[in-house]
Amino acid sequence: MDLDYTPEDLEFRKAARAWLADNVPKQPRPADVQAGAAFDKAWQRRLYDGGWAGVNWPKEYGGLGLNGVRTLIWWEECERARAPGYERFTIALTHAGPTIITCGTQEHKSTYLENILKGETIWCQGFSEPGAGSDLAALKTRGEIDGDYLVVNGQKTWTSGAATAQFQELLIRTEPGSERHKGLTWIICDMSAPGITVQPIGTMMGESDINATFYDNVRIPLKNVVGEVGGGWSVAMSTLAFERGNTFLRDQISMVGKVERAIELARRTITADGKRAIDDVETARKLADLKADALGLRAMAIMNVSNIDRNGQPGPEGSMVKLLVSQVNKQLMEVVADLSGQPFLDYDGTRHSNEWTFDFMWSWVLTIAGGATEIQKEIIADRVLNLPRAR
Amino acid sequence: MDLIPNDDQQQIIDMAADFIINELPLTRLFDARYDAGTARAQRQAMAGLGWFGIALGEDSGGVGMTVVEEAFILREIGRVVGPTAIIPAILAAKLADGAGQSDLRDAILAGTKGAAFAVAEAPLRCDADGVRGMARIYDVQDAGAVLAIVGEEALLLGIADGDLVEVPFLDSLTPVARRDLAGLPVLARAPAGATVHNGLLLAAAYLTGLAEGAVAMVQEYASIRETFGRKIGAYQAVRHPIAEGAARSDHARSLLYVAALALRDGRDDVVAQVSSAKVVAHRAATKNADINIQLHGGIGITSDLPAHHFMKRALMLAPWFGGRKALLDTLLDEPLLTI
Repeated sequence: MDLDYTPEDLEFRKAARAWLADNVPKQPRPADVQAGAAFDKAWQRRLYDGGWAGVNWPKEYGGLGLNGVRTLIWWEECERARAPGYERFTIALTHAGPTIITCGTQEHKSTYLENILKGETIWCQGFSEPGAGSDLAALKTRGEIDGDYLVVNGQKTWTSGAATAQFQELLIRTEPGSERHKGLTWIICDMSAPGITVQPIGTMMGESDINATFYDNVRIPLKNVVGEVGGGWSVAMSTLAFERGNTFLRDQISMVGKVERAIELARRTITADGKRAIDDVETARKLADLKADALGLRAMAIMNVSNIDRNGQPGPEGSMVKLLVSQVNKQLMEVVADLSGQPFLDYDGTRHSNEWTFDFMWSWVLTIAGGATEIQKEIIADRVLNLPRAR
Repeated sequence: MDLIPNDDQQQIIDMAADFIINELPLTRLFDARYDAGTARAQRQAMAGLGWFGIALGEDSGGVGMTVVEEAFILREIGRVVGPTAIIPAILAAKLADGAGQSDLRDAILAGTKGAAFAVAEAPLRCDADGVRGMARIYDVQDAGAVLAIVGEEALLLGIADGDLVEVPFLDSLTPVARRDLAGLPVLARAPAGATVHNGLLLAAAYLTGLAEGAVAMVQEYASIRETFGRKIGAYQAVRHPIAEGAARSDHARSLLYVAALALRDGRDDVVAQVSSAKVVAHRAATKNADINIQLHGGIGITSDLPAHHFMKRALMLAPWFGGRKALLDTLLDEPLLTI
């Protein structure tokens, strides 16, 4: 056991730091949906041109193939430089891309992967439906085979980025009468196909990039099916370990910096009683408590990458991280709201008008999206603790 | 960078777990009372394994390992609410060694003497006339010395027969005295830092074990107990708190390991790490002790079941080497390691 970096790790860190210092955009990400997507594409392209795209994608697919420790270093440096996150490339880089790498054909790989890394194609996810969110296997959107095509009808929801995505990883029911996890198919849907309607959904944050997506006789070539027709569930789950290991790594590491920024905020905020917020003992101790939590999350990140480097997959901490990160974040946001007082309410519907206020509302996105807190507990109870099941 | 114990370290952990299963099974706590003879035998058995000198050099009669291995062992002991006496014993042996008190050191290492731990009830003072101030003194059995943190110093105080009179105490498995430290001679003194950091780590390790042990106990119960025709572990009202408890344990364990390595390697962020480790582990131990009692239902509050010992022990360890408030006040301003 050790916390040391190898000389090569340190070289890597130095190179990453230098590149990020020169390349992280000076302007913040625009709130507007189209402009935001353009910003994300430009950043991804810059990463690609600089040789930093797909840090944990395998080398043979154009990624850097970094091990766990190097991935951790990369995210630490991104956090330090306040570099943009995955944003609209989240699905492409952490789900659709890895799924194609794991289950796709040679043609899928050559058609789609490089364009993701180059920042040319945004992907969105067509999994959740109005009646199938946490209970994904209840999905009803259907696809019928018609010659070389699947004809899709139905509705998806919570589709982040649908208005700007070129492609969608779409999970549909292709066997009439099938139930639950059976009879599903994972297919690549071109978002410009006739019959797709995207309808934005307003959110509590004001600015919003989530949508309802409607499919009216949308014809998708059968060659776009990844895995087998009817084998969609296992395709959708194939990247679960990858996701657990990586998707929340940056959030975990970010939390240490975020708590420090909240402490800084408390030092410079004068509350209505004329005192500095940090001089309130309750506020100060809550922040210190969250600092301890954040250090614990960073320790879990190190445990996580240690398991990945040692065993090729995350250990039980992988399924616990999302639960803890999103809860610590929510507690931090409550403290920030409390210490900020009335100015916390100054908000014009975009994150730039008040980053903390946006983050406060976003804290519910983190506890709901990507497996709600309640679902994370089910996963831990089922898969880590082997507790008796009712389902 | 690697946070997973290597083969040698895993062997230490397995050996400790083995000892615990045989010598300190949780079943020993069913309707248990403190028994001096049993406690003495346990201490001597642990001494036989070298546990009081794990991180002490071989030249000093120790095993020559590090605080990381200490943390492994304390975590295993915590799982079964084992004797906390090992914490002051480990620290006192190091202090005695540093002060050239080899007889005391050897007696502690051999398990013929124990070491007690004084926790201040009011500010303790130390000047030319000696130490003064009221303290609770924990783990007084067969104590050859009392460890006390006084201001910026860690002290070992000498005691004679009859100096430490046991008082009734909530945690009935720990013999505790209460007195003014005035009159106790100073046997050894050293800057407090090393002892406090080491103590925080040991306490964090023990508390992490408590958190894990409590979850293991309620997890087992939830898998066999039936109500309304179903195993209670199938109910979300039961399984979700247990899942949260497991996550808290894992959080505490990862942080414990990082803190242990930071202390072993003398890293700049050692204060932030060991303070955080105790804060997080103490919270995990307390909350997990709570769900362990609560989810057992009525049987949870009986002395038939050892669930209550987890809670009482977490309470007892709260002020050791700095209570939550003091640790948080330190932590707020503590710089993080810049890479």
